[in-house]
Amino acid sequence: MRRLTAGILALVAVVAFARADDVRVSANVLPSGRITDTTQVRLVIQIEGTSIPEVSTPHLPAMTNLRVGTGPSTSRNSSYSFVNGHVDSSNTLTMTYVLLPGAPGPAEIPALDIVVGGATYHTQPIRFVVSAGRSGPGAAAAPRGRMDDDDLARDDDGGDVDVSLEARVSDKEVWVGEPTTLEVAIYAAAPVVGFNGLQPPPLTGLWSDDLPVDANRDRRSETVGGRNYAVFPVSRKLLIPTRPGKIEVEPFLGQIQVRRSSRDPFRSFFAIGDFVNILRKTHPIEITAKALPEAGRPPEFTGAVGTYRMRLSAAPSAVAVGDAVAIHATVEGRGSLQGIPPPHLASAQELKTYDPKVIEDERGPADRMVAHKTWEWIVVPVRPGEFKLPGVTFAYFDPQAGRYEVVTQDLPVLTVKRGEGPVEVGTARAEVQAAAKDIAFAKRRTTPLDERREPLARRSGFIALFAVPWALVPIGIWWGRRRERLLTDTGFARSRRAARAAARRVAKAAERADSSSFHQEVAFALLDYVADRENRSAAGLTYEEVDVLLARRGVDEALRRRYRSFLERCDFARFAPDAPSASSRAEASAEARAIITALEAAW
Amino acid sequence: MVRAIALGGALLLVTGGAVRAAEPEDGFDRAYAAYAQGSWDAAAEGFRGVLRQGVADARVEYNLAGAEYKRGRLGEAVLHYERALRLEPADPDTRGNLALVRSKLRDVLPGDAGDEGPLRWLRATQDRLGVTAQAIVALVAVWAAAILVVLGGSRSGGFTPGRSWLLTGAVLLAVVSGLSWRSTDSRLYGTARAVVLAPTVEALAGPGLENAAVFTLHEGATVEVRAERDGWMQVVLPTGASGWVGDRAAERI
Repeated sequence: MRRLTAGILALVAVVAFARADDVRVSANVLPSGRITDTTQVRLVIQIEGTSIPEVSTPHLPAMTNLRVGTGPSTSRNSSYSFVNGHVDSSNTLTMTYVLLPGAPGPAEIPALDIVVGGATYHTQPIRFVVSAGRSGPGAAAAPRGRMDDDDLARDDDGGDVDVSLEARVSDKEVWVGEPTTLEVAIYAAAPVVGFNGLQPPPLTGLWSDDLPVDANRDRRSETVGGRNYAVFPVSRKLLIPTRPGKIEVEPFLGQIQVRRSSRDPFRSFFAIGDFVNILRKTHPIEITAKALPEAGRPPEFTGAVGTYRMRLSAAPSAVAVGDAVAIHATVEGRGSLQGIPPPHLASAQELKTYDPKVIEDERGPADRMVAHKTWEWIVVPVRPGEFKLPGVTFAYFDPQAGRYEVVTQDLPVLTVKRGEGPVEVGTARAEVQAAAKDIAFAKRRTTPLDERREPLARRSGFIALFAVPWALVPIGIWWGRRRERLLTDTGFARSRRAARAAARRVAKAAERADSSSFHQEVAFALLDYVADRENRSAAGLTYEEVDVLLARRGVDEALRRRYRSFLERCDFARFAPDAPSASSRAEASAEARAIITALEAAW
Repeated sequence: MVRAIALGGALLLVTGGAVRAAEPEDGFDRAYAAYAQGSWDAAAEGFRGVLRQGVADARVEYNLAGAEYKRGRLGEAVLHYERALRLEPADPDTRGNLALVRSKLRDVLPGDAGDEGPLRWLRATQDRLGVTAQAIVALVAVWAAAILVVLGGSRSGGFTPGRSWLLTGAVLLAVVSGLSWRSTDSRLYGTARAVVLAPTVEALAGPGLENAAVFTLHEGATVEVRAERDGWMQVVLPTGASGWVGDRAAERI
């Protein structure tokens, strides 16, 4: 009782060290009650404080009788309290590991070093005792004491759930090299919802190979201790002892999800139960491997144990010198040929023999105890003649009879004709075989490294380039159509160019030396402007006609009068002998340009 | 005095620029030398240092992944091979190494084996071209189509049979390359994915330890990230199952 009390006290041991700030670190394990070797133990590390700085994931030291299953999973909680208008906050960071006990006996988690914001906090060691949990089918264990609802919803020992894991071998006493099958199955008297995987032990002294298994297809019923169990095989293995003596198959560990019937009458009536994840272990199994006898061991024996027969063939039976002949030896029977070297092929001087290779290695689809293996030798005759091909010998140990057997078969005579050219007798040819798989080597740097930046195709400027052409399409079409009209429609072209042509002409008129020609040119520029605008000849165009045309185009009377007045002034100046001053010519040019601009706006 | 200041400034520009430009490459070469000597810890730390300098180069991610693989950290190896593939999607070495690392992982998830048949060929072609090349082809095709529309529409009879065929081809090319570009971009960058780095992590039904475990993931498993909340990450398996894991247990690609 005192030991139990001390154990419970150790389980809830909470260590809190306050350093310069108010950070508190504690560690404890759950569940707080009885812990068996099929219990998932939770190691909960809590860091509390007003504010929690960076916390590095702790490195768990080597633990006694415990190993890490999963973790850590982390969670954060914040709480606030208002006292007399003052707000206090508290933050908690929780890291949880799931630990798996090894065997019944004492267990210890050494002191942990937790680094919080650069400062290291230490917890105290936690010690407790692991008792034996449920293993193998049988009557359900006595119900435990009171169980909280919270416990029901979580993983627990599940000692009151009649579900177990059982391992059985087909033969417990075998010869070295003789296969035996191992089956691991769930024995369930309660509804099994799922199986979350099996952790096999290290199978020291045994060579193993997985056999196909389907828990639903292979399920069966068995009665154990007067109680019916649904049996779900979850693993089958072929085990072959590799050394003589007692070989122990350590327990397999499996996590099973079951539905436990509820104590609530309502939930029980409607078959509503609680889902629990329980751990179960198999019993250890001892296999006795008998050593193969030394007496009567043939020199050709290479380790095959079982009951076998051999077939031999060679093709073709007639070849030329240098041509290849394939010899096939097929061994099949009950046993395992895994790793067995090829049978012995007698040597012959007339033949160049290449190394054999395995071309078939199969086992029975349902019964994997049946083996079938074929080796191929390539032999090349080096001189013509008739030769007896070498025979093949295969030796094995028959476990039923308890003695060695030797099978020898001969091949037919091979006829070899003279070939053409010299015979190439080089090294054995073979396909390139991968020796091992590994990653490709590191890459060298031949160009500068790329900096981190947004890829071109994701930049907004690049995306905008897709919209630009469609904004330019209407402008391009308008410009093209206008250009085409300028080239094909003379009237339109004259009209569009009228103002520019008139302005150029006025500017050129200023270069005229005499007053008469200056005013004549300016007047013609204005008349031609109207003629171009109307797409007609300026010859014979009278001032009255011009006035009518301007009025038809909506030019107001004031501008028409200004236009005509300017033309009349020009006419007067053409025939007046007085040479106008430079300023009056510039004035006339400016007036002409102003009238053109006004007409252009009014047109 | 002015000459001295100018000379000093020029010297600072030259040497400062040279040092800044040379640092990541020097770090890469040192880390590569450590890798070649089998000093995996030093190599991994060196390549990480290069990445911290603002480098986003597939060779660095690839070499870092290789060093992590040699250190036995399969989750980190998968993470950095995936990042290398985002930068160089068609690199055969990266794809081969990632497949090898995945073959050693405990979790086998649908989709890890890759695509089959025509889809595989299509994705391989997209990866060989790269996102940028596909985007440029789409842009050139759009501009060509716009120019052909202007040439055809700006004069009567401008849509000659030859020009019409060219316009059809340009539109088709723009549509195909545009869709291909967007799908490649979405595949490489659109879906948030994460790689499990913890040896084992239980995915819970909700973001909190009080929730039941719905499935267990192991180091190196690549999952889709649907949401993140309060230090928890909602992950989705290719089968559609989802659960919450602590965001320290997995890292986004």
